[in-house]
Amino acid sequence: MKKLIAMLLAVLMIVGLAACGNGGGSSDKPVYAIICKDASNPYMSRMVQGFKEACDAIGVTALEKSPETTSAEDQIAIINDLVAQGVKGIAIAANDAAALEATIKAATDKGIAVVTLDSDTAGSQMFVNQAGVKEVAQVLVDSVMDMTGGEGEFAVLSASSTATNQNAWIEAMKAIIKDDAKYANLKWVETVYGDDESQKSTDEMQNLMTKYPNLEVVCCPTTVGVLAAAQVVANNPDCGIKIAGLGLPSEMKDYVGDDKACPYMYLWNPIDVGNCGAYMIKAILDGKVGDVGTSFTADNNTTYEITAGDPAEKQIIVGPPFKFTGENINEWAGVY
Amino acid sequence: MATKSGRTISSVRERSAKSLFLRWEFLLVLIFLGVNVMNISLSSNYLDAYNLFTNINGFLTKALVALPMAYILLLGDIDLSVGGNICLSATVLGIVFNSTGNIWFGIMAAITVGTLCGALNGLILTKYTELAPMIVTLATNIVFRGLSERILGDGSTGGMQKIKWFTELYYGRVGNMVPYLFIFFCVLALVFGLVMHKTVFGRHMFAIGENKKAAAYAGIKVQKVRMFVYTLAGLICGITAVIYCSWMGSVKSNACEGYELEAISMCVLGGISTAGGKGTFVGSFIAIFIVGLLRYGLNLINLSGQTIRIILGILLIVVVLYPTIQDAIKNRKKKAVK
Amino acid sequence: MIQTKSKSLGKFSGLLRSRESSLLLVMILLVLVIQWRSGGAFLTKTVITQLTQNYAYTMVLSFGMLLVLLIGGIDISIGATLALSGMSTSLLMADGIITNPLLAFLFSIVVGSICGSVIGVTISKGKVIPIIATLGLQYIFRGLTYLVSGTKWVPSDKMLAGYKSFAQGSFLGLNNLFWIVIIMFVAMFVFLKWTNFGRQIYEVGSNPEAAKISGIRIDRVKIAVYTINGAIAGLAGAMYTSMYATAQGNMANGAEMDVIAACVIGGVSLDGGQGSAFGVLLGATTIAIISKSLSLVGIDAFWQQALKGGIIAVAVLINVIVQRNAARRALEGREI
Repeated sequence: MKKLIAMLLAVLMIVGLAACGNGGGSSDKPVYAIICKDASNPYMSRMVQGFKEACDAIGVTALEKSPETTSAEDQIAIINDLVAQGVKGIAIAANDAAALEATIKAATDKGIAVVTLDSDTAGSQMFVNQAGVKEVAQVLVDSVMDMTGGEGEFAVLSASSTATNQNAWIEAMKAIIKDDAKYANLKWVETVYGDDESQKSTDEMQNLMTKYPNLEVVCCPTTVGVLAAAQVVANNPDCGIKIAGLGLPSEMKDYVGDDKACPYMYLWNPIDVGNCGAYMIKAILDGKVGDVGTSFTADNNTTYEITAGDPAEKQIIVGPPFKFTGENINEWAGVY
Repeated sequence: MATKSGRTISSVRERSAKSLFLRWEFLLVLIFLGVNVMNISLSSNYLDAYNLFTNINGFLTKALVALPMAYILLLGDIDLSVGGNICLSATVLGIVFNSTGNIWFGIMAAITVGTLCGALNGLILTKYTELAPMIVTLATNIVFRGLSERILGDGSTGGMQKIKWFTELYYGRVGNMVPYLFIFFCVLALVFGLVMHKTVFGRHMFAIGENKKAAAYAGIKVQKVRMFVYTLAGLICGITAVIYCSWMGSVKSNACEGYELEAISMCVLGGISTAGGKGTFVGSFIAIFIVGLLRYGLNLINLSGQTIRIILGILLIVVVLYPTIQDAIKNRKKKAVK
Repeated sequence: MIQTKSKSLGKFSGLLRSRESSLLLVMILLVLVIQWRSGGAFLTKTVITQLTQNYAYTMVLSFGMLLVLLIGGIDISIGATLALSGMSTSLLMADGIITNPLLAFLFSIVVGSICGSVIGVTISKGKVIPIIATLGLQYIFRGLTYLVSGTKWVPSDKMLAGYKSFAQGSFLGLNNLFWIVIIMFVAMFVFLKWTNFGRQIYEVGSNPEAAKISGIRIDRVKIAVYTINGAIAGLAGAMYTSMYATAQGNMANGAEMDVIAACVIGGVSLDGGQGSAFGVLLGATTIAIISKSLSLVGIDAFWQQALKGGIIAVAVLINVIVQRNAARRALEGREI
C-alpha cells in the first residue's frame, strides 16, 4: 500500500510541477516568440530584452525560448512546440543555415510569420541582419589595417569552426583583403578556433604569440574570444599586440582604451536587433512587406529597405556596427 | 537495485498481481500516464495527433541509439562514442552523396562507416579486455567527431533534401498521420526486446552482465558477444545517421553532440542498471517516451531549456532512488512485524 | 598491496615495472616530439609558465577525481560544480558582499563541498550508481548556474583586484595557481600513503566486502570522498574565475572528460582501488601538454580534435601493453 502511495506521490509531483509552471501567459493576446541560440551568452539575453520591449509596445505577449544545447535539433523541437501552441510569429537566431528549412516551412504554411535575426537560415521570410556581413568584415579589416599601421602580421581567433556567423565574416574578410591592393601588406598568418571557451581561447592566443613573434594584431570576431585575447594581452603588457574585434562593452570595459589591450572594438546594439525582430513579425503579419527593392515603414516609424538576402529571400539591415572607444565604453557598459 | 546482488538471472518471472504492481515498469507506466495527464491539462493542442507525432519524431533519432545502448549497458559496458559515430557517418553520407550524386552510395557508405566505427570499439575492447569501455569510447568519440571536423572544416555538407524520397524517410507519414520513422522504431524496438528476453543470445547477455567470469566458465563466448553488440551499436548509429540526414538535410561537425548521455539516461530511467545484468526492454521503451513527452510538455509551458534540464535531472535521480526508498519502507515494515 | 610487493623486488626493477615509469617514458617521448616539431618553441620558460597556469585547474580537478575513482566511483558533474561555485562566488563579489579574495576562495570551496556532499549522500545512502547520480546532478548544477546568473556573465571589472591578480602573480618563480597544484599533490600523496583514511579509501575501492567486514564505514568514506572532490571542484572554480577574470555560465563544460582521461592515462583503474597521486600528476600533465601543444606545433586546426582523441587512446593502449609485458616478465622470473 505504501508503495502505491509513493508511486502516486511521484506522479502527483509531476502534475504539481505542471500546475506551478502554468502561471503566466493565459491571456488572449497574440503571442510572438523569440528563440535564442543558447542560454549561455549575455548577447542573446540583450536581444531578448529588446524583443520583449517591442512586444510590449506592439501590445502582444512575448515568449522567450532557449534551447538546451546550441544545436539545430533542439531549435526544431522548439519551433514544433510553438506551432502546436498556435503562436502568431517566431523570431529565431538560427543554429544552422540549412537544417531548419523544412520545419520553418511547416510553420509558415500555417500562417505563422517567421523571421531570423542574428543568424540566418533558409526558409525564413525575412532576415533581420544586425549589420551586413560585408560591413562587419570591412570594419574588422579596417581596424586591423589601422592597428598594424598598414603592414604587418595579424591572426584571427574565432569561435568554433561550426559558428556560422564567424565563418561568414572570416570569408568576407578574406575576399576584401584579396580584392583591394591597399591591404596587400597585411599578412594573415593563421586562423585559430577558441571554441568560445576561456581556456582554449587563452591557449590559442598564447600560442599565436609564441609562434609569430612579429605578430601585431589579433582579430577576434567573437565576444568570448575577444575577452580572452584581451586578458592575455593585458597580462603581458610588453608584447605589443593589439586586439581588434567584436565585443560586448559591459564585459570588455576593463580592456578597451587607447593605452589598453584593445584600442577600440565594434558591435551593434543587440537590443535594437531584438526590437527590430518583433516589428518585422508585425509588418509581415500586416502584409506590409513587399518585394526585394521596395521599402516600407514599420510600426516603430522607421523605414526599412528590403534587400536580397542569402539564404533567406529578403533581408533588412538594422544599422552599421558601432565603434566603442575609451571615451564611450563606460557609458555603454551600463547598457549592454 | 543499485547493487548487483539480490536478483538472479532466471528468465522466469513471478506472475502474481502483486508483483505486477511492484514492478519497475508499473512505476514507469504511472509516470508515463502522469506526464500525459499533465500535458493534456496544460495545452489543448497536446492531443492533436499530427503535432504529437511531429514531436515524437523529434526525439526518435536519440531513441534509436538508446536501443543498442540498452544492450551495451546490460553487458555492464558503456558506449560514449555514439554521438561522434553518428556525426562521422552522416558526414560521410553527405560527402559521398555530393561527390557521386547518388544517394544510395551515400546511404551505404554511412551504414558501413557506422558499423566499422562500432566494430573498432569492439575490437579494441575485446583485444584489450583490461581497458575500461568508458575511456576507450570516450577517446574514440573525440576521434570520430574530430575526423568529421577534419573532413568538413569550417563548412557543412548538405543538399540531401533535394531528393524527395530521401526526406520522406523522416518526414513521410502513413495516411498523412503516422510517420514511417515511428513505425520503423516500434518494429525495431520489438525485435530488440524479443531478442533480449526470448532468445539464447539475450540470456547470454544477461549472464555476461551479471558476472563476466562466471559466464565465460559457463561456456558463453563473452568477447564474441561483446564484439557483436558493439558492432550492432555501430550499425544502428549508421542508420541513425541516414535518418538524421533525411531530417536535417545538412551536417556540421557538431551534429548529435550529447546523444550518448541522452541515450544512457533513457535506458537507466527504464530500469537498466549500468552495472550490468539487469533490466527489461519494456522499461527502456516506456522511458524513452517519458523523457521525450515530458520535455515536450515542459516546452509547452515555456520553461527555459536550462530549467527543463534541472527537472529532467531531478526526475532521473528521483526515479533511480525509488528502489532504495522502497527497500527502506520494506525494512521498516519488517521491523514493525518483529 | 601490489605497490609494496614491487618495492621489495629491488628499487630499480620495481621502478621499471611501475605504471608511472611507462607513463613517464611516453611523456618524455611526447615532449621530445613536440620540441622537435615546434622548432624548439615548446621547452621555453614562457610556454611552460603558460601551461602550468592555464592547466592548473584541470590538474587540481584530477586529484579530486583520483579519490572518486579509487573508491570505484565516478563523477561527471565536476564541470558543473566548478561552474556553479565559480559563478556564485563571482556574483557575490560583483554585488560587493565578498570583499576579500581569500574569502572568495573559501566561499567557492564551501559551495563546491555542498554540491559534493549532495552527490555523496545520493550515491551512498540512495544507492544510486555514481555515473547516473552525477549525470542527473550535472544537469541540476549546470541549470542552477544559469538560473543564479540569469544567463549573464560576471565581467572582470566587477571582480576584486586582488582576486584577479592572484592568478597572475607568482611566488619563488612559480605561478600561484601552480603552487596550489603542488600543495594539492603533496597533500594527496601524504594523505593516500600515510593516513589511515587514505588507506581506507584504497580498501573500499579494491574490495568493498572485505572493507565492510574489517569495520570500515563505507557510506561515510564515500560521502567524505565525494565531498572532498566537490570542495576541490569548488577550489578549481575559484581558480578558473580568478585566472580568466570572467564567470560564464557554460565554463568548463565537458572538463570532466579531460579529467577522467588524465586519471586513466595516469594509471588509475576505473574499477577502483588502483592509482596514485604521482600517476595522476603525470597523467594530467600529459593531457595538458597534448592540449597546449597541438596548435603550437602547427597542426592544422581541423586535425587537432581527432589527433587528441588518438593520442589519448594510444597512451592508454601503450600503458596496457607495457603492463602486460611487465606481468609476463614477472611470471617468467618466478618460473626460473
